[in-house]
Amino acid sequence: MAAAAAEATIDGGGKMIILISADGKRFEVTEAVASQSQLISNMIEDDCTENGVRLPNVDGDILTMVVDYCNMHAGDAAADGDTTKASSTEELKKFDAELVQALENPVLFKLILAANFLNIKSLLDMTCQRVADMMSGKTPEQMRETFSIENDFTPEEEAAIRQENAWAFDD
Amino acid sequence: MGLRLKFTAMTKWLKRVRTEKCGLEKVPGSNIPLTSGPHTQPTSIKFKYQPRPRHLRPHRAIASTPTAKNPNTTPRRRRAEQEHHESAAAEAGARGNSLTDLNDDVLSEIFFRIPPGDPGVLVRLSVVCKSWRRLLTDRDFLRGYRAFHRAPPILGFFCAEFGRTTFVPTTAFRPIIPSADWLLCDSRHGRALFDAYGLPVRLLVSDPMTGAERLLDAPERWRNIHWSAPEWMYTQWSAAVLCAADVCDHLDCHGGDAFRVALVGTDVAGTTHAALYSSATDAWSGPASIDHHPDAFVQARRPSVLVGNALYFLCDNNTSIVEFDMATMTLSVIPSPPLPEDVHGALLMTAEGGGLGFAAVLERSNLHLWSKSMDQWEHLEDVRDLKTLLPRGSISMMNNVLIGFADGGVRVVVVRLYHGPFIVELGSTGPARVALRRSGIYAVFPYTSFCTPARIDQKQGTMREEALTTPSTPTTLLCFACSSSLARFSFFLATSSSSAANISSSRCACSMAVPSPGIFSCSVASSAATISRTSCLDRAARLRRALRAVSSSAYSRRPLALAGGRVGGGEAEGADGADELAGVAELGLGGVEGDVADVDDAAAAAVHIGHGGSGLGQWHSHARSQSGARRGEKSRRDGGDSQRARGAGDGWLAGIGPGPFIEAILLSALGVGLRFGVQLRWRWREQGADSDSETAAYWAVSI
Repeated sequence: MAAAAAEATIDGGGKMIILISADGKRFEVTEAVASQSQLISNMIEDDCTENGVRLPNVDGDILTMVVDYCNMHAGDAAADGDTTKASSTEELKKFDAELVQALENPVLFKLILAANFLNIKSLLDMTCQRVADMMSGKTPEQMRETFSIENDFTPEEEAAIRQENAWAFDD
Repeated sequence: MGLRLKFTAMTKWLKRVRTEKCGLEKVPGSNIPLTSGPHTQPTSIKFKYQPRPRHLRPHRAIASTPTAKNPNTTPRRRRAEQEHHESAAAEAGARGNSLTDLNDDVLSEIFFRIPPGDPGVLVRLSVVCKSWRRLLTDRDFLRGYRAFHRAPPILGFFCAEFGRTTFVPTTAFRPIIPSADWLLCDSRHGRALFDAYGLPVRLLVSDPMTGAERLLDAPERWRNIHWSAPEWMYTQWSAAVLCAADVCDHLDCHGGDAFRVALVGTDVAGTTHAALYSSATDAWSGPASIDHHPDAFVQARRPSVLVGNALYFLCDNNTSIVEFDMATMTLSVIPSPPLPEDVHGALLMTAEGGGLGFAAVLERSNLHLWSKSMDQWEHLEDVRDLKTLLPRGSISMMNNVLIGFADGGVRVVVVRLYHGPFIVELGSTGPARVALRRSGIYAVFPYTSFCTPARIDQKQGTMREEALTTPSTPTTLLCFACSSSLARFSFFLATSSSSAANISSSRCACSMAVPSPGIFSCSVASSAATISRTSCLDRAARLRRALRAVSSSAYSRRPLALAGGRVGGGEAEGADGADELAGVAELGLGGVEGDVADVDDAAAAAVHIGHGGSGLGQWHSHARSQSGARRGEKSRRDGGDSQRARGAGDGWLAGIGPGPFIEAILLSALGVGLRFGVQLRWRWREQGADSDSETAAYWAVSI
């Protein structure tokens, strides 16, 4: 009964979903856009979006980017048979690449967290790939520096691992 | 109804919220007890990922994400949920600034995207910090990584020449191979199969990543056959190794005990023989043979193709293929695709989709492909002109230009030219890559595998006792060391026996991981013994580097009781065992700079090995056959007594606290390579326990 009542309050045509970020910002998006997130898609299926979706792990700035991304990609899943698809896919890829290249590390990591939490596969794919690419070709020291990570190995331990896998450290 | 639905959805969501939060909490300092041992550095407590000391971690590391909150508390009401959200919201702004803030799931997602074709990256990542190492060495990560990438990459090619085998890496990875003198017969399913040239025919199944190996005798019958292949082929038949595990997709099988080895060859009379070894029964089955067939002369030492339960071997004239059905143990001959007169090379391969495929170079340079569906060969449209892919003028009138095939995500064939083998990617128009600049290579076997730190850390084998034979010449095992936190033993070896000069000029080092048997509070232990000498001068550089690292680190200082010893060789004669060992300990340690445990300790350590090691006892007798085995016996016994006395009181491990110590070490050498089997038995006492626990393990070590 309760579910049926909730259904009735929502517009029949373009259902809108309200996303609420950690700092209370509200975003109104269509269901098609929102359901790129597997998390929200599940919630829509289970009918628990009527009061807005609170996303306590995602703050407003990041959610803005995520919503932008989802808006850009909303056509992806919907119109598969479209013939103009190829060119627009290319454009999207370019947009994605530029977006992800321009990001500062902290923003990138937050975006990864958000993508993982919201379970948006393509966004997670793209952002994680970017970090993975940053890791390639770096020495452990450079990685620590890039990602500001503290080395908690003792020198002996580190030497032992290095010596064991000397091939990975020979440049 | 609707309510229940809503509730389920909410709990689902909360579950996700919780997973997300997991690992991002502050780890209170009180949760981290200080580890004992001299290497422990004070750990600063911050808002960051704090790995727990190893001994406090549960077995499955991914599940051990430290949380301050009890992960079992599930807020069941919406109000609780709201509170939860508000506290999370407060943290949201501060989180995500550094990679250390990401939880294991997210980090895994990033690490999954490291290309498997560059295995060095994962290894380097595992040195960045402890939590990353823990994540990367976890078996779950390996499973996920495998699932993410599906096909294992080609890590390199074993190139067979007449009388030798070379590994040509296509990545940074370097395999553990027994010796260049052993001839490679096949490589498949994460394993490599070698033939020790000579009689009786012996085969070695090895895992090039972990060094685990297993020695087999070829079937008795095999040695009395006069093969059709010329003698200079060294190995006059073809062989195949394959995984025999029941449930296995063969994308990443390794080191497992379940394998099969197939041999197929044709004798001078034209009879083709086959034999199949199964590790499950440890016996050869067969014989299977087909009598004189005009065409079926199986090519020796060429790659075979496995499709389902059958192995396929190409025959000399390229027009027929021998099929060895391992389920029914039958041999049959099937025709190759119809070929014109001038075939410049032919090769069996796996077709796309997993069936049997065939490749041939016709019309001088055109690469034709076929795939077999049902009983028919289907010629594929995609004919490539190798001239466009290879350097100008390199295609010559050579025959048998196709020498290998690999499927590691991309399918490649290896083409032999005067300059050396070239790798041609099927389905790519890019130019071929040169694999090696050497002309004598006639067969190439790819090595494909995932290479993650978890895999590499499995450097332990399953050597059987019968594979351990008495060595003929002595070598000194300089020392080995284990570090507590990594539960890892390192071996440092000197290969020569007679002089200090020799010892310092050619040493080898290797190391292996052991599963931690319990709480390691001991920092470092070391011991010494003798193994067989072989030449490893070619690895001297690597070794010197390793030794430099050791001598500059705390390995060579207290509390490491570094000891060297030699119990074989017969030249050095001491008054008793302990003295002799002590003497050699000095000798052995001469090459290592740094502080050294005093001779007394070293002797005790060395004698310690002798005690209880039956295998080593044999060695004593063997090595002392000239100087008097009886004295050796006695000294060992005395040494054992003195060790016991010391071990019980303030022995060589005294001062390091109760910890594991090596009870016995049994070393041996196999053939010509510097490979030996080690049996380690170690005892340790868990904190608060009344009695010691004991563990024993065999390893095969290759350096």
